[in-house]
Amino acid sequence: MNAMTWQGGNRFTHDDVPDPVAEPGYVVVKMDTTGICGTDVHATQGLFPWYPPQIMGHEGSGVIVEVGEGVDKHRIGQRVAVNRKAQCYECWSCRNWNTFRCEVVRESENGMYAEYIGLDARAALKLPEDLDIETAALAEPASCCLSGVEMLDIPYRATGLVIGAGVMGLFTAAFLKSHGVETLVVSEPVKVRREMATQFGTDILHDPRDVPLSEVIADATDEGRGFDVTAEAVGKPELVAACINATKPRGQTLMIGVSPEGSPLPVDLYDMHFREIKLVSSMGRGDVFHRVPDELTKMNLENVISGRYPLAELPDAITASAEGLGVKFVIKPNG
Amino acid sequence: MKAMTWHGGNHFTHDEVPDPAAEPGFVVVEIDTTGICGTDVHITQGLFPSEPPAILGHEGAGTIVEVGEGVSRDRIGQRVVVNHSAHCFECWNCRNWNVSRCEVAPGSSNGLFAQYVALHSRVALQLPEDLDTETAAMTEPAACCLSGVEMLDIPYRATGLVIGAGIMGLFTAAFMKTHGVETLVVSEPVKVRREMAKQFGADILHDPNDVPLEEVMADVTDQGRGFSVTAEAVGKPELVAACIDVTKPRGMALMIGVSPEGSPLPVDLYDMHFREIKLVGAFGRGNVFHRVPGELAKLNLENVISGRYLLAELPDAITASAEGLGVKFAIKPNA
Repeated sequence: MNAMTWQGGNRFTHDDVPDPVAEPGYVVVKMDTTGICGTDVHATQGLFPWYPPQIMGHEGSGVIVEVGEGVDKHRIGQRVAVNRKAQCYECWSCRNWNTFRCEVVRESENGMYAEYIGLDARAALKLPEDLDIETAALAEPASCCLSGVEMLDIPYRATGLVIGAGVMGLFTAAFLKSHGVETLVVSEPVKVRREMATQFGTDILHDPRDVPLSEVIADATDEGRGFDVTAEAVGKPELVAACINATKPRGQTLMIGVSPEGSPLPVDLYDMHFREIKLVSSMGRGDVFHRVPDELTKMNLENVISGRYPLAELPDAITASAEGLGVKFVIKPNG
Repeated sequence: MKAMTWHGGNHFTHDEVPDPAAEPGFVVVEIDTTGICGTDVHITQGLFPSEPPAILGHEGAGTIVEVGEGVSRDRIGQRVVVNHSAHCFECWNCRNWNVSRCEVAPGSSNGLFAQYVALHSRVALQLPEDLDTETAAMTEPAACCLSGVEMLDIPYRATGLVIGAGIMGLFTAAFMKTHGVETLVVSEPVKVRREMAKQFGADILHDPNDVPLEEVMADVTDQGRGFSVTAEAVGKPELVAACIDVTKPRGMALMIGVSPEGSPLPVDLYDMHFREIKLVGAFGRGNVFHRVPGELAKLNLENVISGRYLLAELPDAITASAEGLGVKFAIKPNA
C-alpha cells in the first residue's frame, strides 16, 4: 500500500510499504479520512517528542475490509472510527490512570497517513448511522477535549473561557457548553477560526488584538471576578498563565494545548496559591473515545474541514495547518 | 494595654496602646497564647506582602473579659479561640470563594501580639472542655491545613507525601491521615521536626539529606508510579515542582506553603500535562475554622510548642522560628 513516511522536519517520502494483515482479533480498515493534528505539526517543528522515521496520523475513519480470526465476519463493510490504542483494563495505567494509557495492548502498527491500517477489533468503533464517515475522523481530537472537560467540576450558572479556536478549542467549547457552562467566551485572533466558535455554542467571541482580555473578564463574569473555568487550547505556557489570571478564586484552569517539553509555567505562584486556583492537566483520549461518535452527531460540524488533500500532498496539508488559516485539514488516503 | 508594633525587618517597638473596647456584637479577649506563624517570619524577611507599621499576630486563644451590647453576659470568662476575620455569609467572597475571604465583616481590632483583642462575638469560638487554651492557639494554622486537605479528592488506599514538617506540614499530615491516606511519607531535613511527624500519623519519615525522594517513591507507592496526593508545606517553588514530579498520573499536588510573590513554577509543563496532574492552591482558613478545635482535641500535640516567650521578646521568638529548630514558638502576652 501507499504510505507517507516522516523523515524529520516537514519531509516525508511517499513509499510503497507492505499491506497490514488481519491478525487474530484484528481488523484491517481502508482509510477514508485522516485529520492533520496540531501534534503532527508540532512534531515536524521539533516541538513534540516524536522521532522519525515513522508513519504518523492518529485521527481517522474508514471501512473494515478484512477481519482476523475471532472477529465477526459481519463487520466487513462496517464504517468505523479508528482508535489507535486498544486497552486491557487490567494494567496499572488502565486501572489507575486511564485506558488510553494502556501499557499492554499494542498501538496499531502504522499511523493513518497510509491507505490501510490493521488494529485491534475493539478499537475500531462502529459509527452511528447519522454520522458521516469524514466527520467521524474528528472523534479523536473531540475525545481529548471531552476527557479534559470531564475532569473539571462545573458549577451551576458557570462562566467559561477558552483560549484558542483551533479544532481543540472548538470541541472544548462545545463540551463546556454541553456540560453546563452558561456563558462561554472564546478568544482567538484568527477571524475564520473565531467565527467558527459560534457554531460550537460560544456566546461571546473575543479578538485579543482588539480588546484586552481583562475587559471581557470585567463584562462577562460575576462582579468581574473571573471565570469559573478556563481552558488553554493552543499550547503556549504564557497562555496557560493568562488562563490562570482570568480564573476566579477557587476556579479551575484546564490545559488542553500541549506546551513544548521543559517549559516552566510563567505564573505568579503566590497569586495562584492565594486565589486557590486548581490547575487541571488533561492529555489524550482518557476513557471517553467510545462515547464521542454519538456526541459528534449532536453538533453542527459544517465547514469545519477547511481543506482536503490526497496522500502525497501531506506536506502541503501540514503547512496549511501550521499557518493556522483554517480549522481542520484532512488527508484522503484513498483519493 | 501593651502591644508589639512591627516597623519593618525584625524591628518591633513595645508600645502602650489604647485598650480595645467591646462595641455592640463584639467581645474583648484577654490573650493567653499567640503563635508565631511562618507568615510572620516571612513578613519580617520581606517575603510576604505586608506594610508596617502593624500589630501582627493571627493565631491566638484566650478568655473573654468583656462583652458588647447584644452579647450574652454569660460568655464572660469563656475560653475561646480567636478567628482574626469574621464573615457576613453574603458578600461575593463568602458566597463564591470562602468565608475567611469575607470583604464586609470587620476583622479583629488589632493583631494578637498584644494583651487584648476585640472581635465579633461569632468568631470568638468557645473551646471544647478537653482542649487546653494554649493548644487552642494552633487552631488557625490547623484550619489552613484542613481547608487545603479537603480540596483534594483522596482515593481509597491512597499514598501521600508531605514535604516539610513545620507546623503546617504536620497538620497537613494529620488531616491527610484522618481523610483517608493509608500510607503517608513526611520529608523533612531537620531531625526534631521530622521525628515529630510520627506523632501526627506519618508512617514513613524521609530525610532528604540522606536518600533521594525518588527512592522513597519507588519503595512506597504502587508500582513506584508516584503518590496519589502530595503537599508542599514549606513555600519554595522548587519544592512545589518536586511534589508534582513524584505525584502519580492523574494525582493531585497541594500548595500549602506560601511561595514569594512573583515566583514562576519551575516545572516541566509538558510532563505535568502529559501525566494529567492537578495542582491545587489552598491558602487560609477557608470554611473550616469552627470545626478545628474539635479536631485538635483528637490529636496528640504534646511537645509541639517548642518555646514560650514574653510579649517583649517577640523578636527573639521570630528569630527562633526562622532558624527552624523547633516546631511552634508561642508568645504569652499576659505572662
